[in-house]
Amino acid sequence: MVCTTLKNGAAISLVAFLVLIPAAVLCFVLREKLNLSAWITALICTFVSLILASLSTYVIRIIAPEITDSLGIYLHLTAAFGIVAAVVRGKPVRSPGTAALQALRYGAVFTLCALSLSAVREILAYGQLWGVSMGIGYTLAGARTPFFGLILTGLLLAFAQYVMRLAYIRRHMSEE
Amino acid sequence: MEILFKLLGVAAAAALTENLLFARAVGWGELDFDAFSRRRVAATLAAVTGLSTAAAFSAWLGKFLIESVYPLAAHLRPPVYLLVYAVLLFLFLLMWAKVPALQQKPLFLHPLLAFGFIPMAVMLIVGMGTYSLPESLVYGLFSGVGYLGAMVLSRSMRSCIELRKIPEAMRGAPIALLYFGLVSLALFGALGHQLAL
Repeated sequence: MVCTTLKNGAAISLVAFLVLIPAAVLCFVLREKLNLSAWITALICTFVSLILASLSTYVIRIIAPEITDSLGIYLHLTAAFGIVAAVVRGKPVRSPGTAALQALRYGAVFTLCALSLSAVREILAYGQLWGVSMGIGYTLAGARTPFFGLILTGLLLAFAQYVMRLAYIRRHMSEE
Repeated sequence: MEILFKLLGVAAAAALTENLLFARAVGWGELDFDAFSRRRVAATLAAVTGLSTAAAFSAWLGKFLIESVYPLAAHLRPPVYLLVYAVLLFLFLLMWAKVPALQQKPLFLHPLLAFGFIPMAVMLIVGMGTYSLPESLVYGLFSGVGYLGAMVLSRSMRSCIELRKIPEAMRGAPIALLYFGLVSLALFGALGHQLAL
């Protein structure tokens, strides 16, 4: 929804890194080292993530001064506990360093997806990339809408699954 | 009468035009496919609408407290809303644990749901908006109803897909996102507007 321009995609990716890495380490420490209950862990992690997301507005302004307005609620939504929980519950996490690396990995994948989507949508919707005109005369107003984002994400994911499946088949054929 | 129509408009906006899944692409919930029953749907409805209403009320109350005590910048307010929400949530959990009549009943609540995308999104929308108290409560309530509608549609999509031959690359998330995108397209075709937040 928010990745309609490359600047938005870059900004939300930066926020995701700034929020996810400390939040994942904190979640691991609270659950595994201090053995706090799931409710207390979720509350503290979400609170700290929200503070980090709020403070990240000062960092992302280097991309564009009006970027916080264009991100809207999605800037603070990166602090939702579902994301942090997904990072910590992914591969087995046994140390704060592993939690940070896992968060870094998630952030990298998120950045790749966000930047790809944003670039395609900005070119289609506005005929420009990072505010620089590409000289394309025709634009697609529908590319700015949420439904286009959902459909485009589905198609890009299908392409990624197809490529991964091909790579898996080739690897198994070469092993045989 | 005017107030009633205004609240009906807010309810329709929350459930349809600003549906959390189809218009804002926030979260992707699914009702339990194998253990689907009316009781579970009712319990899920109660949980989702309860949390979203509490989140909306917390945002309204947090905004009121901030404006009365110390006017924080808009981007620094969400942690205050979350604190108010956490107080309400923990009071509720305490009541559920202490009241004998409720102790026997299962609670369909999990930290992932309570601090997940749905309550957070409703909290942020109401916190950054200009809704009054009745409008905030109606918005929260019908956001939950709209999201449950999206979850029911998601389940019906899954039951249809189980019977179809889908290409391997499209299975799982890709076909689901395409489905949500097409439903979102239908809603925008009917209403056609841009979201403010």
